Amino acid sequence: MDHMQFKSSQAAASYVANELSEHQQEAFELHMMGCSECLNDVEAWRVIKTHMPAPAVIEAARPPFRKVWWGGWGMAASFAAAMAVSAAGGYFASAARQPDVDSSELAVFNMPAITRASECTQLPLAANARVLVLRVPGVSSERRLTIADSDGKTVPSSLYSARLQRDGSWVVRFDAAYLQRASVQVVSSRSGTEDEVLGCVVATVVPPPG
Amino acid sequence: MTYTESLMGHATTATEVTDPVVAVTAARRADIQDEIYLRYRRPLMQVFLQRRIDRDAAQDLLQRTFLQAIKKIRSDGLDDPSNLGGYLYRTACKLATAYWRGELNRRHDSDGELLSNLRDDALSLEESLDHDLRGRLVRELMRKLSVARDREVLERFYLKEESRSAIRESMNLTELQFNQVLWRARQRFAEILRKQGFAEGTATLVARSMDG
Repeated sequence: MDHMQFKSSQAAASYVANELSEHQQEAFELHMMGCSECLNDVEAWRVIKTHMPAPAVIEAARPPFRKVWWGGWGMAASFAAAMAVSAAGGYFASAARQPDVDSSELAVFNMPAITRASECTQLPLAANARVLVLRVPGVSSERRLTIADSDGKTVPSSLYSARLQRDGSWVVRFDAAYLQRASVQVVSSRSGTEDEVLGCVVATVVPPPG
Repeated sequence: MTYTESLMGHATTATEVTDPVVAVTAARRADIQDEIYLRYRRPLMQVFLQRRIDRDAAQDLLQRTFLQAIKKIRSDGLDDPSNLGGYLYRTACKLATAYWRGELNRRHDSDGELLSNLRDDALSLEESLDHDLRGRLVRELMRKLSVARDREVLERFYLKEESRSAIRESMNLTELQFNQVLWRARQRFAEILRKQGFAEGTATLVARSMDG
């Protein structure tokens, strides 16, 4: 490929978006070593990608809407209708889903290997963590994953959610505050067979490393 | 020995090379090595960033790359001296792989302070503008894209990291239309940068002078 082909195909933009194949990426990078124009493009796209604001931020910063001649009661009525619809929608939507969690408030762990020690594995959390996600691989496909408290009683499903992923692993979501208060056992079960305890975890807040 | 030290320890090693650039390197080592560094620093930095290596680690790998290259030129010369950029690129790729495999020593005899004392007239866009300003300029870009479709394409392409084909399909865009969206955004961003008094590619002059 020559420079014009890279330019016309917006290779720099695709490069930063990780859209090029391995072969294309190598060809473009070798070209970029000697092409300041493509390098400038890459740097600009990387800045754009790194600082791309969330859509809500863009909308909030947009200039105010200019009033038009037909604005007035018609506009007010449609606004009121839109508010009513969105309020109703918001009510039903919020009832149907968990609150949004910022990525900094999310802690993700793989299920620690089971040890002979009697105590539970402590999962280190940031102070602002709200949700803890535990990935549990290696559960046999005919078994289900459940969570039990330290006495072996099944924890109500309202305190956690567990689902099977396509790769066969389970993902368990806890309220981080709950797991700081109580240790839980991860159990794989199947009707007619004995439950198998895969491990015990508890969460604890630790300061950042360093 | 750090890369910077290699720059300082000039004109002591005889190197049999045929390439003009490398030959001149042997003769006027400090100056030309400095030029080589300035010429290839920015593209190599992008190579590291593309491999999801953070900027601090990339800076260290950059130094290792140049150090290896200088040692190689001094000891053996290059098999294809005209392909110095390619050699640096391959070295950088290998180091990036080694980095992710955890094969590099944590401590390296680098000297970031000395390195930063090199001429800084070839700063990248990210180095030239502070973090807040960069964020402000990108927000301005998104505001100034007059077509809502253009904003959606950029958000999906870079923020949500959707594939080009998925975006095109769902928005019913041809390849050409998709590229035009990117082209318009890039032009608009260049305008915004110019208004800020930032001339893109301050290193261009360096690169051109080396070509000549």
